[in-house]
Amino acid sequence: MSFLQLSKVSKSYEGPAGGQSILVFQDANLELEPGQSAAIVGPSGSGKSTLLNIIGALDKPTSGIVQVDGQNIPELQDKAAAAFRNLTVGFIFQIHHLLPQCTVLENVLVPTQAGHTKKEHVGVINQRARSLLGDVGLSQRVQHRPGELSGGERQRVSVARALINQPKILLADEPTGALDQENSSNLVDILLKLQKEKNLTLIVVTHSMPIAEKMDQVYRLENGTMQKL
Amino acid sequence: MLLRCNIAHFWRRNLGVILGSALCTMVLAGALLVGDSVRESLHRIAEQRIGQVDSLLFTEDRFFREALATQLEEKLDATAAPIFILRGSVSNPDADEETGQIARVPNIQVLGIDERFFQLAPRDSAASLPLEDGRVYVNQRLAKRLAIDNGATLNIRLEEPALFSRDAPLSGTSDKVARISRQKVSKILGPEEFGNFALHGSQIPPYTIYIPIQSLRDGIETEGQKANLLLIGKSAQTEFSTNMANDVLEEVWALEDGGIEYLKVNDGRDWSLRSGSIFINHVLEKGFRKVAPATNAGVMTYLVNAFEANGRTAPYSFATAFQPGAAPELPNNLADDEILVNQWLAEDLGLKPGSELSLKYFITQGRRELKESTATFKVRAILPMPKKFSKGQESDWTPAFPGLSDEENCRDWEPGFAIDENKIREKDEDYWDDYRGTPKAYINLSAGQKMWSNRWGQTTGIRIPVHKIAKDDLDNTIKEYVTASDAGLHFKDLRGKALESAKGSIDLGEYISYFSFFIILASLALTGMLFVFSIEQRNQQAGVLLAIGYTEGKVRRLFLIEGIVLAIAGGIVGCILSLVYAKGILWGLTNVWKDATGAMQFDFTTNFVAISMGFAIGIFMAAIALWLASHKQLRKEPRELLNAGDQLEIRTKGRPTGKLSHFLSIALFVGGLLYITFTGGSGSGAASANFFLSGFLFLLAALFFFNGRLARIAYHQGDTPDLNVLGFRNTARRRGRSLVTIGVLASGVFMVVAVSSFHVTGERDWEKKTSGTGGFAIVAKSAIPIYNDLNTKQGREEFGLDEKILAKTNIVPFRVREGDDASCLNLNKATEPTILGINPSELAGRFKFAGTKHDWSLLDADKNVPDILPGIADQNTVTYALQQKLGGLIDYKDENGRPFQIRIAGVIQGSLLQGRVLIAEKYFIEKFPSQAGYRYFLADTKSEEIETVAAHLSNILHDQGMEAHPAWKRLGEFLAVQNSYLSIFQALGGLGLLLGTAGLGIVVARNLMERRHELGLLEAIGYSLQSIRKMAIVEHRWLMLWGLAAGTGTALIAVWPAILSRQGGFPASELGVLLLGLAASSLFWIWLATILSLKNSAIPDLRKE
Repeated sequence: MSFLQLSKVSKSYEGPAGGQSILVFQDANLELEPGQSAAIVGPSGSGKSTLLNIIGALDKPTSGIVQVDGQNIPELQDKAAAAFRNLTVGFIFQIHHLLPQCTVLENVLVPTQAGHTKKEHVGVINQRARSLLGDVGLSQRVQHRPGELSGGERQRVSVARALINQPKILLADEPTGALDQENSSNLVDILLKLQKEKNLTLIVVTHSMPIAEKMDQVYRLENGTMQKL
Repeated sequence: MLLRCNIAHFWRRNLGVILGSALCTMVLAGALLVGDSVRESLHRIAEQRIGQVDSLLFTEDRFFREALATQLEEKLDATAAPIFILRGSVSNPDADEETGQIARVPNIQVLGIDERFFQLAPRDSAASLPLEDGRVYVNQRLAKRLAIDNGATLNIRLEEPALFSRDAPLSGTSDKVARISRQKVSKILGPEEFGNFALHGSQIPPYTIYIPIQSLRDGIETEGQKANLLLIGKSAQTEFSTNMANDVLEEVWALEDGGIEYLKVNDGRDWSLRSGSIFINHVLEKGFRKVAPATNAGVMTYLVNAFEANGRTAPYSFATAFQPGAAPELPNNLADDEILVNQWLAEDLGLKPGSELSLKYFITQGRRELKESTATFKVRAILPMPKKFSKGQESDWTPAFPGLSDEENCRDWEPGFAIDENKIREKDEDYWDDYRGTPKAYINLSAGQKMWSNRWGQTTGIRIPVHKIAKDDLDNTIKEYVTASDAGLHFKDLRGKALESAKGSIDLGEYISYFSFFIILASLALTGMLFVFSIEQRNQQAGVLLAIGYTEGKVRRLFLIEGIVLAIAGGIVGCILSLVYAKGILWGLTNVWKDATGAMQFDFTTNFVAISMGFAIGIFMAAIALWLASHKQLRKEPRELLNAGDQLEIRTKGRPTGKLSHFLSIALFVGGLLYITFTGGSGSGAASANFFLSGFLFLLAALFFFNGRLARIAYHQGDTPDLNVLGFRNTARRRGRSLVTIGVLASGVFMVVAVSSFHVTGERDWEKKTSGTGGFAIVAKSAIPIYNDLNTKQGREEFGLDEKILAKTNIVPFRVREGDDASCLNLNKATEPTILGINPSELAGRFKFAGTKHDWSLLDADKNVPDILPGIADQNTVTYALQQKLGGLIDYKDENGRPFQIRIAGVIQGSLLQGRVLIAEKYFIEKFPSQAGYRYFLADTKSEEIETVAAHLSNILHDQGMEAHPAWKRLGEFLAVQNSYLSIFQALGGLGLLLGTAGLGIVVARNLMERRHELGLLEAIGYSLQSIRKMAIVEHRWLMLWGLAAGTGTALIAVWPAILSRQGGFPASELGVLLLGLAASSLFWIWLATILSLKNSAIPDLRKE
């Protein structure tokens, strides 16, 4: 069995009262091993983010199997799902969703306060956070607040945040959607570099084919079906 | 870390939460401070009232030696102040009514004092106040009432006290008013100078005048250095207590102090024990009988109107009933129907042994009504006459009847009934000169007691052979069997009772917190609502935290702890504000709602414990509100939170129909109606509880109704979506928020509207017998008792009352035993309320009883248990002053210090008899036999003559200190207290309501802020900014109207039973004005919030998207 396996995963939503249900996609399949990367492309509204949310235990499929590292993700109870998202998955959103009330360093440390991680010395965690910020080129900005950063810098902080708990999977939903071309390119390079260094499984949802082609696998989600390209 | 970041970053946004918590704590801590301040103030007033006195001895109409005070001082190493205390009235002969001075004040307290009185004053420096003949002091209250200053001249009228009760037969004339004229006021005494001295606890001191004790004695022509009140304090003995004082009293009291006399009779062969009250009361007789029990003999001497036999009459003569052994010359086996006559009478009426002789005599019934009775005897023997008396000598048999024994001639007698001088013959005057009160006939004691026994006693002397006891031993021997308490001498713990009383009958702080309930509710609702707004604005942050692995519980706890920290900050601010709030309430109690407190001046007391408690409770309640408001937040998928952010609206599964809500609404409404039907609702005895419970049910029903309506409105379709339709549908977008707004407004309106309906006046329907006046037109009280029946020609003539003015007037008199004022006018706790003794049949059908089967005949019920008397009292007295209920027991002591209880057998509602306990007259005179006359009156008269009759009674009976007023006015004074408390409730409820309407403004601002993009869209597609504002106002106007309608409607239903049962009337115009004001205030806040939120175009917000 693969490290990450989606098998005949379908998703539909209930329609308005008395109406038919709305199919998003059906029978989606995907398999990845540790250290592999995949891109999911497709038109707007095709369900790419929904699929990513299902993998990240932020949503549940209507049917099908979603397994990560031997765990059946849809069957996880709330607390176990939260622990999964905290320890196994690192999320990068299109909009960075940094907390404006915290500094850059504090934003990176936020996932360590969720209560699922083993007790580590504060110094060790801080050091790891600073190291990650160094990896994304923000060593000099640790005490700054999100409002003092550019869009690209904020997104890099969100990358560091996603990696602080040493996850096995990195899920990035349109990570460059709000960035210009230069920042987009920089960000993708950072992602791939870190993915290789840390042997992460990376799934990226994107509109951009150049970005998609940098991944090991590319899937297209369109008209309710997913095809491997 | 995150908590610290959140608090530091969002404190501005969270000011509303801090404010809400501050308000809640301010009110709670403030209420507790008010309660403490009131208690401290009452304590201060109690200390001023009693000064440095610990115990008091009060004998009322009995008098002890002033020297007793000195003896007690020595033994107890204390200060003992003898006082002569009487009731009276005072007049200012030089009163200038144009300058506001009034001529007369009835019902004043006259204190005859010496320098020791001021030694016990609160302030030691008062001890140097001098006492001079012809000069008096007055207290501030009296000076203010008379509008006088130092140097004013006053006349005092008071009743000459008498040991012999003026109700008793042969007690002499009842009209004994003493006048002490032209006393100059030296100084007006303040509270620290004993200006507030009183025997009973009240925040309002009695009108008091202080006169040197000897001047008072001279004025009332009392012999000897006597007093009837003794105060003890400042004892150097650390274990001093009232029990110790009573123990010492037992050692040092003399028989004279208890009005006990003895003299040698029968040529020195016997002692005759007597009482200054003429008839020896049962307690004393019981003690006397224990002295040489085998040989003592009782006697009873009485004045008979006439002896009649053989067609002849001997008028106005004394007869004696005796027990064997009373005199050696009298046989020991006289039968009940036999009589001995002296030679004089035998010759006068032609009697011989075997002749029939009739005695005609008066017995006194209530109100000095005289009933003449006749008894017939058979002459057994004729006794020789004694030697003629020398001047000043008096008969051994006859005590000193006032009005008789001190007169030179029979024609000058004033025995208490009219003497027909025409019947008195020369020979009768000769007999009086030669033999004074020597009885002309003798019967045996049991026959005499059958005829002449009365509530004051059944003997006038107890004879004991001298050889049985020596003089020195007689005093001690009597004291072996008669205690000081038996003789009416016992100390009471004045200090203990005063401080207990000062704890108050009601906890005003508790009441203020109840009255502030709506401010607390509104501030908590505001706190919760603003907290939820704050959470909603950070929905995306919450989504991030959930997405990166925080559990829902952890995120919620994070927000809640943040809220609690803010609440604590608000609590600290609230504690500071509570000082201002409490001071404001106390100012209001003194100046605005003074009817509730008698315009009492309160001392503000800062109490750390009270503030801490208010802080703790406030934080706790705020935490509950925050939890309730937020516990349903964040129940969304993290992706929803991330995507929609603060614009997220609650979505339910499927489309709600509101059927369940409507069903619950109907069920609760019907439940409320059934509750009112079966319990009587707010018109019943448990009016408050029923009102709140039924109101609560109706309000809940209204909220469920609106919940169902809003659910349907949200999914309504089919109308053309113009601005009115959009505005109407928008009410349902945030159903929870809309319901909170409607609920807070409805609750506030409910309380304010309902409370307005409870305001009552005394004037409405006063003529109804079931009203608070009992249908009586006039209520009156006198300082000096009135003994005669004021409904009879004789009684009215006695005082010079005009028969024409009083032709349609009937007066019901009440006996009065002074005690604590247990009405709502007294903030002090009442332990022994004033007792009124009444003939129950005279109140039949009057006033309204709380129990349907109760009436005044309850008072005449036989005592099931000895020493437990049935009593009736007003509901306010029972519930609030005494904190009792039906069947409760109140402890009293009779005039001999013996304990008894009054059981609350019946309760009357909302009456002017508030503050007192009523018992049957027969039981009253059983327990207080020497309490003569009547001092409280209710009168029927024609309504158009009330003022005339009241003025006539007050003017003619001014010597008796009579004050007569329309009954509805007196009732109004009590109702004013109730109305004051309602006003406090309304004022505080109104403040809370203002807070609620301001909250409405916040809701408006919040709603509009969340929909900036949507409103920008409307503008973009062509709606003007003005029309969008109009839509917003329409939307929120609906919430306001529903809140007002729900509150008003439910209030009217809940108070309807009260309105019907009390005939209190419905203040429709007042309510109309109130509701218009509320609507205007709400509309103002809606308009202001709309204008501020939609000041500029929303299109730029659309571009940001």
